[in-house]
Amino acid sequence: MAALAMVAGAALAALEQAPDSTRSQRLGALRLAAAARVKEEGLPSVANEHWKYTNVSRLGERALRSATAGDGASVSAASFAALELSTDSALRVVLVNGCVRDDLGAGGSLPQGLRVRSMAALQEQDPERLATLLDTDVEAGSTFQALNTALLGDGVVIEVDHNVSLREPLHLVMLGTGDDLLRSPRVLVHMGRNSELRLIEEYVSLDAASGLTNSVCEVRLAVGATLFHHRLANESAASSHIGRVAVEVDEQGQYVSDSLAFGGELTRVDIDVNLVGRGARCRLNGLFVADGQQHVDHHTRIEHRVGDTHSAELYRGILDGRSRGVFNGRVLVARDAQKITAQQASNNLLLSRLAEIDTKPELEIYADDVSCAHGATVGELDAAALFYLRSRGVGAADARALLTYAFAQKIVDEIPLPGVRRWLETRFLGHTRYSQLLSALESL
Amino acid sequence: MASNAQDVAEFVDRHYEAGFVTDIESDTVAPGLNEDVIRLISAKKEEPEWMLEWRLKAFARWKTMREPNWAHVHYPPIDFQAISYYAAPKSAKDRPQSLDEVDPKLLETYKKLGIPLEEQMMLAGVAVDAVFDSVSVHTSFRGKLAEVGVIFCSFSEAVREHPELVRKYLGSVVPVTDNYYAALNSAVFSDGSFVYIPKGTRCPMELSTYFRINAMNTGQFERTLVIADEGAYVSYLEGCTAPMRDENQLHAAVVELVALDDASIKYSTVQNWYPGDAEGRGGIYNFVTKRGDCRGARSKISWTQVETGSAITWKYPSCILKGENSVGEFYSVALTNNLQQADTGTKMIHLGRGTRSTIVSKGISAGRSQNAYRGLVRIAAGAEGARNYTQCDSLLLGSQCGAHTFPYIECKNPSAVVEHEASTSKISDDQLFYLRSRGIKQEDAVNMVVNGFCKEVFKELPMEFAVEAQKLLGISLEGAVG
Repeated sequence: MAALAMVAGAALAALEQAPDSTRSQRLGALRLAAAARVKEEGLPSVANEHWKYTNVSRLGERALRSATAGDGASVSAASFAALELSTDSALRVVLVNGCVRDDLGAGGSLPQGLRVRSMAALQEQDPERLATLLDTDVEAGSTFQALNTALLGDGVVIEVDHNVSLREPLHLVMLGTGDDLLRSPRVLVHMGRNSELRLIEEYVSLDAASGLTNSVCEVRLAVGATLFHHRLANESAASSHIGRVAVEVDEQGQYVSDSLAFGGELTRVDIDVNLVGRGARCRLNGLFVADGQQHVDHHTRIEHRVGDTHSAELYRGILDGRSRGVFNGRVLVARDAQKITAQQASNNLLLSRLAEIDTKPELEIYADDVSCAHGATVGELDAAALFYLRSRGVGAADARALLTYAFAQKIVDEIPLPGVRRWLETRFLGHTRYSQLLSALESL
Repeated sequence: MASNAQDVAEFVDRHYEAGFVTDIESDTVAPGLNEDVIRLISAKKEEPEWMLEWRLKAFARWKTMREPNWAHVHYPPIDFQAISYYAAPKSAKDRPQSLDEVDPKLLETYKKLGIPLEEQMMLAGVAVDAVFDSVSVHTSFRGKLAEVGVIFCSFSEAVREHPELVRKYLGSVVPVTDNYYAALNSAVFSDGSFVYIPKGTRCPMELSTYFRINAMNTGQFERTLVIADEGAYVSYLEGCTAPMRDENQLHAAVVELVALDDASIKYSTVQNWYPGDAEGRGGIYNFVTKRGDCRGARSKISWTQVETGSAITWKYPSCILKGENSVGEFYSVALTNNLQQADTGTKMIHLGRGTRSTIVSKGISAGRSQNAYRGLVRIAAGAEGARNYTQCDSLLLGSQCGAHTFPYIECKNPSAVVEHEASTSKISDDQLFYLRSRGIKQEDAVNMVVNGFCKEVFKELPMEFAVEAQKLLGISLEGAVG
């Protein structure tokens, strides 16, 4: 943990020496407190129940440097034109190493009722407003969140006005480039009453970028608001990704999320949803595909704080090579939060002898009028289904590929992002003749 | 709902039926724990030197360990120096040769519990090794068991008479360093039962031990070791109940089961220790380590438990499935009421090829209690074709209680199939309404639904126990309608 703590220590020292570097007293105090937490606690160890299966000690030892706007300044629109992104949405905001690049965004003027601002700009122009929008609880999340707060540089602040329903999805492209960089983007989403937005948060690498992306996304949904949130972690093999999404859903609000993890050496995503108003609901879906030495960890926590709130969750993992997958889904029902429904499922496919899955669906319930269920399965491809395909003349490798793709499809079908489907088709069916066949069928 | 609330109130006021104190002089060691106390325990039990050394080694380790705090239970810190670590009924010095010589008060205690020994001796062929506090006072059917070569005796006796078996197997399933309470038990264990079933022998009767905690302020540290040699079969029954008192009592037992090739052990428990009063005062702290080792190929260990007592239960009967095609089973009903807390479940460690395990856990929470299932299913890389099925259901009766599920699944072999299902809900209004509309009283209806909920587990219990368990559940649930 030494090196990362040093990064935080340096941030702390810089803040202490130049307290005027941020003009907001509150913001300065928050960052100081966060840096102090990182310095004191260090990175979570495997002795910590929430990090039992994910060892980040190696990550902490790496000599990483906190990325600045200067890193990746040479990136131009042309340099990522070749990247295959999940969607060609017109509303696009591009961040390079966590810093907003206005010159790379697309879509021209924003629709009415939507405000998207750079956090760096907001820090400069209206730090008090930023301090109000940020989660001020220094103890929230793991020390990675505190590290993000301590290093607070740039990111995106998204605000949707009351009763505004946006047709066009908003696409955040988080580009990583350069070696051994610590990228700390922060995303704040504030949805006004009865507003609606589809947000795509896509993490990709421009080249063989290395280092760590440590992102935090905070979402607040006012009464009746709906957010569809697609989160894709698809960075280079030398990159690691730690992400946390903290969501608060008010009355009749709806949060629908897909968390997809395909790339990266080590990926850890925490999704923390608090249902605080009656009628609030959330749906969390996830898909992780890992191979080689990849390690993918998803932790979700859904807290039903009041009655008449509902949640559903489905996570699927496909593990090949020596990869390791972790899923921990926790559902909490607070005292007297009655009339709750909570469904959770974790299905995992092991394709190799050396792959490993650790899954833990947890229920913690303090009310009685609830209907909660969870299920978890681990196994390999169904022998009967393989036999069926083979008996129809499909080769063994192709049959395996088709069934694996079908396993992922359940999640992918609900995601309106053509790029994701293409990626999975290439990944699982690329070497088979079914790729074209499927495309042909779809175009019918 | 008004009548329900009333029912709940009545239920809360109900007193613990097995709550009474038998007034017998106890030979109790002053509270506190140090090497001298351990030497004294060992001396009183006339133990050989190696046993004392084993205890002292465990004690040395225990001093370096910390109390576990990960369980979903809360209790004030335990002062281990305030506990007396040895108590023996006075009359144990001259062992009674027949029932007439047994302390009449002891017999009376059993009668109050509804398990008169004389009846038991005649009934059902059940041999009873009765543990009253810490020393075995009565063992029956020894002769009949000896005929087929089965050894069933108190642990102290086994240490003296079968040291080779005890030395070979003691601590081989639960090492002294396993956990805080297992280490404590290893240092100070008082007595318990020892069972050895020789090769190819089917134990001719169900073996049974009744435990009681009776002397004020004494921890009870049972040690049970059951060994089923190749091709052997045994069904072991364990039942507990304790008298009412105000101070919390610590109980830290260790149970070790060893099943060799083709052997099968069925271990059933009905636990009804004093759970504390309606305000959570008193009650037993039940911190138990139970583990079975399926050492041989095709061996089988099956745990069945009905847990209704204790203020705090911390118990995970586990199976290590080492032998090829060995089988582990865990069937559990855990009921908590008032301020009881239970954190219980199992561990199935699949090491061998073709190993199979089944977990069926039924948790019932009422009052202001907290009931947690915590389980681990681990499939090691070598466990080719391993199979696990887990089902844990929770039933909530009342808005103030909690039901929690913490299942850990760790799988390192693609050919393994692991399935886990869990559900939590309150008692079904539809089912209650259906029964009520057929003229069945609310209370009986609840009882029927709850018994139905637990049926999968009850059917695994030996007959006598199944009857007792159903009765126990019925009593425990009077009026507790959510």
